[in-house]
Amino acid sequence: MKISSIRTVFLILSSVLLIGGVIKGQTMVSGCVADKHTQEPLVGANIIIKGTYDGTITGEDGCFTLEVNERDEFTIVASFLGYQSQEHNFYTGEEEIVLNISLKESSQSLNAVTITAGSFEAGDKKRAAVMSPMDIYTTAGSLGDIGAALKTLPGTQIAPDDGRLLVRGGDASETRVLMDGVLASKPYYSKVPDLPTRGRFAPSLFEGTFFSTGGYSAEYGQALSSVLVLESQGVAFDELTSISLMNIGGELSNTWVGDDRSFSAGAGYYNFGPYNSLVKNNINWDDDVESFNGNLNFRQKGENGGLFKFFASGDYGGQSFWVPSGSGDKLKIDDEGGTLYINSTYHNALSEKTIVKLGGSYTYDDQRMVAGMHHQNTREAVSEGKLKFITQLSNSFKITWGGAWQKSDFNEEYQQTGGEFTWETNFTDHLTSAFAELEWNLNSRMAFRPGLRYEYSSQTEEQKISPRAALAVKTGDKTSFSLAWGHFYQAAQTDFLKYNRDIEMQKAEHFIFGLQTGDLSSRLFRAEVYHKEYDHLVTGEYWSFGEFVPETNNGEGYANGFDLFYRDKQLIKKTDFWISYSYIDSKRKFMDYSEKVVPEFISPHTLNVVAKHFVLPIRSQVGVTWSWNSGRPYHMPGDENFMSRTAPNYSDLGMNLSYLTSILGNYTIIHFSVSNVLERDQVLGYRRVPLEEGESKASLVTISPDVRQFMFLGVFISIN
Amino acid sequence: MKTLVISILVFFAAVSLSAKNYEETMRLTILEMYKSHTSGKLNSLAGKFFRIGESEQDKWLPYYYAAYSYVSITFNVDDSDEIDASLDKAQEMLDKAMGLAPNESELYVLQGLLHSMRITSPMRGMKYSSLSREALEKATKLNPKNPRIWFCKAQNVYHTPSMFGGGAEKALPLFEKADCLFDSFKAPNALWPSWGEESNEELLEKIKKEL
Repeated sequence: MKISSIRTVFLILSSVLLIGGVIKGQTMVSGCVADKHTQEPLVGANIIIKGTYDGTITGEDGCFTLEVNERDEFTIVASFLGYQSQEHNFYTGEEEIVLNISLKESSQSLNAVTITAGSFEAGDKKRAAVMSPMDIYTTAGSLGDIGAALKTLPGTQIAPDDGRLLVRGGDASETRVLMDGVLASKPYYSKVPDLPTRGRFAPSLFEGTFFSTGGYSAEYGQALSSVLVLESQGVAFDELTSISLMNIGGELSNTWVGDDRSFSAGAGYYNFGPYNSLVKNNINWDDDVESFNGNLNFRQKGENGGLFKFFASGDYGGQSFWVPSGSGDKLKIDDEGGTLYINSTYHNALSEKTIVKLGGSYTYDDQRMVAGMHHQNTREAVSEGKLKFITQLSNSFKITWGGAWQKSDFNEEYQQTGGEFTWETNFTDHLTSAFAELEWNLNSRMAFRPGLRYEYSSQTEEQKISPRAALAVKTGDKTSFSLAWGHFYQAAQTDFLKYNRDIEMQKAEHFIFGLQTGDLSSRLFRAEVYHKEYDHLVTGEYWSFGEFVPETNNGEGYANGFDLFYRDKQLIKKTDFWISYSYIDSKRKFMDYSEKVVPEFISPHTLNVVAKHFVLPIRSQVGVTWSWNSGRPYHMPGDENFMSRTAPNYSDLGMNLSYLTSILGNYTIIHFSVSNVLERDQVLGYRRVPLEEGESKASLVTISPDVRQFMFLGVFISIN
Repeated sequence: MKTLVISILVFFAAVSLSAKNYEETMRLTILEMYKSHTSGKLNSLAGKFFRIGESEQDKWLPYYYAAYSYVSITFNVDDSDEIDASLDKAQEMLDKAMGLAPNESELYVLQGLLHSMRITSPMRGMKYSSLSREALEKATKLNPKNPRIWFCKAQNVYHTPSMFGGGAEKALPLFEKADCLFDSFKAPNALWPSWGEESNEELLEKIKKEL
């Protein structure tokens, strides 16, 4: 018994020793995990003993303590989302080990550096985003117009008499709009002098927008100043009927959903007549704005992530109104026309590393304009086909290359009342382009993007090669610097080419340096300085029939400036606001300018303040937008110095209210907005009136908003 | 002899303790997770599930539970930024799980739950309620007998204001259907997700009293 007890003790002891042989004492590992670059602690990083489930996570200070009950040898792995994991081997029986780890950000991570110079993104997930798609709807004064919401960003002119995007010293024709990477040649409804126009596409069609104010990728061309890329929604997954009732019209659309596909159709009718009859108007309407539109949308998902998209829209509308002609008489402007737009794209993975994108678009536009005795009928057909490949060569190299072909047919018939004088012109231009761009992520903190673009125009038989380059360096967790440079060419607009086919492409060169810090979810600050050189700008004369006739490419100019943007969602509870300020110093000699001056569409100082406040108990969002710019220059005929006068400053305070409610159990948004709350008399500028034959004294027309104050009321119902 | 057996048992216990014991570790960690309510605890459990997932490599359940732990953090949090941050982590884990089991109904249920937790303001309601609905429809296609689908659907309807077609009355049949399915549901293994049954019963009783 005794012996056996001793044996028991011995056996238990030996088994404890045996277990001890497996456990081999305890080792305490402790230390901290930090970002290699910023040295900021990483909270919640995983510390793993390799090959086991054991480990811990780092605390609020980025530090950890871990007991290792292991063999002599063990490996500690530190991992954190968005960072490259690190392994540390130990061959020790030491009781305490101190292990401080610095993790390097992975270049594939969401936090990796993005080139932000010159670009504003609206998206849900993108790091460089400064706006969310919802912002376009909820920005006071934008009235659901993409362009109007983007105008609250720096680098753009407010230009309430235009409605299109005027970017960093460029006029409206210098911005190119693309839908899913393919040309949208008539993105705005037809523009008549002094009246703003609207974008043709509803923001609800898009899940993101990319708006560049300069220095953009070699993929895009034929724009001297800016590109706006709209990314349309993918396959819809909700059967939905939506009804919009507004004080200026109504829309109805329906979406059908199938397996991996969706189809939707919509139609709308707008008539400003009833509204105009209620309010005082600055415009003397003869026939109020009236238009019809319709659209079709089809999406089909394929295998391996392929996606086919088809979109078609058409509209027809007209308006007529009286304007002062300068000589004291009134002139009637009558405008009527229709547009058809088709856009279709397909993308699919060719291999694990290569994606192919194929796209085509077709625009047909037919506009009839009558201004006094002048009758003009313009027809334009523009088609574009585009092919693009994206290949991820390695973790750090990505190459994008492709080409596009664009054909434009232009036809215009001109006639004077009575048919005494008629004139017709036709021309066709083929524009071929090719591009290649390399994206090189040197590491997670530095990216370099050189690119080259080639363009050939059959009309002018010109070949142009534009080099582009961008560089971004991330210096902090949320701070990065970007540089961009490039050459940009643009063929003269068709309105010019119709009178003179020898007009060559115009050129701009951009230099941009920018800083971005923070992010959209909390606070974001951005500053950019730029220098822009214009060359080969079109010069010419206004002829007696009021049309500009180009003669040479002798014009040139420059634009220097800086843009500031600050957005904050934290400072004031439930309030999101942004402030943008732009300063620009720009002069150019172009059109019929007698000397190099500040062009009449430029305000040197522009300020926008946008605020949105959410009132939860009443499920409403209240928004305020204040837009201000210093006066634009104008020329008083007879003055000694050209364009030496300055119009008054412009200021507009707009407010809106969106109320979320339901009608018969369906989501309903009631939206009300008012522009010019303070009812200021706004003068936007003055326009020179070209001399009519027989007139001796030229004069100015005051440009003011079409309505002193615009009130919008809409009810949007979604039934599903 | 007896002592030898004991010592051998002790030895094997020790070996099995230091070796991987997937089933047991998972079982205990899952139990602990269902009992935890604080962010700190759930974060560290999510970390543990992640470690198990990384170590096992071919199993979707550890990542699923890592995601579920991150989602459960948001049950007790009000700050919408904090909610988003936790749900972003959950989404990363869920994506890993989906990579391993792309046709698992439970993963789409969790996706549906994740989307609905993003509804922190009425303005977000429209977007995320339809995303949640889409995920739950997909889950239904994969396994219509999964009770958690109907529990989540019921909750979505219950938390939608009656003016938008939601409310207790409309949610009741869904809770009842979930209740039925919970009774007949046979989990394929011991580690299978089991959440929802208790809450479903509680809510069902509460609603019945209310109506």
